Amino acid sequence: MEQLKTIGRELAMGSQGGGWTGQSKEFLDLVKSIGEARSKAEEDRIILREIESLRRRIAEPDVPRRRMKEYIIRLVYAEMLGHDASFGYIHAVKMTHDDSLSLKRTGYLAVTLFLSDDHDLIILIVNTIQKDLRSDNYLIVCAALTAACKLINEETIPAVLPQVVDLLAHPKEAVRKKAVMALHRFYQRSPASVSHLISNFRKRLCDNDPGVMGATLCPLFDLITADVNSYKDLVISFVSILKQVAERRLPKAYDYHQMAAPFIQIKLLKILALLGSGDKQASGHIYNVLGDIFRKCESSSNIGNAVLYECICCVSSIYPNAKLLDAAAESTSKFLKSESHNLKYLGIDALGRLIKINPDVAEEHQLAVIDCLEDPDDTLKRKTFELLYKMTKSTNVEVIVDRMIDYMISINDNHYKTEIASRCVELAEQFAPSNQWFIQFSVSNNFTFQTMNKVFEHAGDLVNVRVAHNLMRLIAEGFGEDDEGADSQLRSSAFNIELLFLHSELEFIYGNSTHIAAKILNNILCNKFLKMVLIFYSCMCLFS
Amino acid sequence: MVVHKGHITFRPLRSRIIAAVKSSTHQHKFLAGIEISFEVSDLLAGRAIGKRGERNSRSKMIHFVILISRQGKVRLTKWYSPYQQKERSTVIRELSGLILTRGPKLCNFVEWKGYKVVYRRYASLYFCMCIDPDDNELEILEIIHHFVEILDRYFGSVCELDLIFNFHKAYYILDEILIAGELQESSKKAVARLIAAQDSLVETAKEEAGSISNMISQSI
Repeated sequence: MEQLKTIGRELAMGSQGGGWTGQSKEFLDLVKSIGEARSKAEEDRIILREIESLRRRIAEPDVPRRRMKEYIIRLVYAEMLGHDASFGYIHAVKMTHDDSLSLKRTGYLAVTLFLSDDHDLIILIVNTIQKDLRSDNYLIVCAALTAACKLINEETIPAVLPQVVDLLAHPKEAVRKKAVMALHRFYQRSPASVSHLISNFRKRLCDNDPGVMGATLCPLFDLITADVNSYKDLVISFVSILKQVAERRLPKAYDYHQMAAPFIQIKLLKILALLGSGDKQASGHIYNVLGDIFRKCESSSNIGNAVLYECICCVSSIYPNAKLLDAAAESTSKFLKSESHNLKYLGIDALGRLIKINPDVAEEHQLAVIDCLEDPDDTLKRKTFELLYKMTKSTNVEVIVDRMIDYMISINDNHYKTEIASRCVELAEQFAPSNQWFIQFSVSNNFTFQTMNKVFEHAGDLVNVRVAHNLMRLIAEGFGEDDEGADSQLRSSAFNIELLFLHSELEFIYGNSTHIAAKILNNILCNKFLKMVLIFYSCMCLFS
Repeated sequence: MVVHKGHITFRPLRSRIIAAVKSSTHQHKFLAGIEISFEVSDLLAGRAIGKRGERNSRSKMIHFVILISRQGKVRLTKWYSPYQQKERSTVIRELSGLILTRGPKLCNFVEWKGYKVVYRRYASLYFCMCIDPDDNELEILEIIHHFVEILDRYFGSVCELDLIFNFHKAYYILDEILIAGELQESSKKAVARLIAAQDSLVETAKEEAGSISNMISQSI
């Protein structure tokens, strides 16, 4: 801003109008030429030339500090475009030692962008951070806290921890807020070093400033996720805060698009979902405020719908309440019927959660779900498949798995393909209407899997292993039981498959074989281990 | 079991199987075989699941923020999870391919490598944030909007050029909204106040430096 004002003044005085940035003309030219570059290669050449020139100039003695600041900013720019400027790191570190806020701030920005918390140069910064945390200029303290959130790691936490804890009581709310977030970050990096200070988070929940209170919800969420029972006593406090927020008792500054502090509401709802889960008493405290929020939510804005969605998530996590579940189902309906793809997506997700509590909810939305399945939007399709996965029973497993396989054939993302493949296998495993169907399914679909995708590394093995695993289990269970009939039929078909396999692979001669079946098995099980185990089982079959 | 270059070698296992075959009872041979097969398939399954587990052990809200132009040029990147320089280029390339080709009426969310990326287009610029799969996507969409509204207020009708030439200021603002991948401040007023304070202190410092050097040069 100061450089903007400087340029503004210069412009007013009639001197060169180099733009509104305050950076030198060189930097402007650099950015312009990058913008006009016609190919990545040309862009790379320009940046590399710039890096070389900076490398020379930055190493010169007595570079004026403001010029050094610009060099560092240019290096940040170069690294942002994907190039290495590590020769400049040390200069950025030195800049953090500077007393002037302008330079110190740039130094901190640069080091947080350049370095990760395990870099060797961190040692040189820790002292500076320690010193700055004790500064009487709160802006310097803020800059140091922001840097600490990125750069302090498990080893260096003890060096700054005491000051950060002291800063939780700083008169300025911006500092307290950042101190809370820094402490949270330390807890994430090393829970043990901060465990004795957890009560501080509880205290900050009662902070006068809503920003600090809102920031405290982040660490509390993590703590509650790790250990729900220790925080059940806070249910009433959270409910009371949520009530106040919903009743618009927070300063207007926290309003966003006509909703009262929606981001804070969402955090609170997430926390209450955890605390009320499986706990009738705790949930009892939550029902009223949830009902209020359902009623008050602005469903015409994105943020209103975000809060509504979070309410639905909360309702489906806590101890069931019929009225709230109805409200949730109604909101879900509205989402699914909406024109907006985003809302349909949320609707599908919400439906998936409600199904767990009441499977019949899915019935009335079948058409909407099928529409989503056939939508050209890939994201929506995937989400709908996830829903189908939750809705599978033995009556519809074949249909659903067929659909999933069709979809799988059509997509290109290998990572996702293998995920669907393993899901198909899981579903088939769980809901197979009969053992015979399962073996048939395994054989014919493995054939499909293999022919489509030659590039399937570990994940591909995973699919094959699971199928073979299940085959073997079925055979084993067959062996374990005494009854004939279905089991012997099963065994014989499985046994035949093995024989055919062995025939093609090991040139043992057992008897008749069909080339096709052998080929199928060959394709299925290119995994050496599985071959070995099948040999083993076949030996068992032979010698039993 | 020996893991070599990501592939499991089965030599020790084979000897176990052979030992099992040679062992005395029929039952025993068979059960041993089943045990081993379960072990291995669990291990292979576990490796895939293990990868997912790793991802969740340090779950943050937002893993990174990327601003790219319609032509795929990078305007701003902020990484809250560890990504090496090479990985970053790959991520940007992949996401550009995924997001820039999406039509206007589709969802503002894409699934990518087990994560979700929420994006929104403002004129010629795409704002993208990568989150964990169980986060509230619509909320993140609004956090993006919150960021854009603050930028708009600061620059006065912000445009892509503002962000190109003042990317370091955009970083300062982003650092007031998000910290360590979490939403730090949801009040636009609070953010604006802090940034203004920082800017004015810097300005004062500069003026003071200017006036001191004037005094010195005059006294000489």
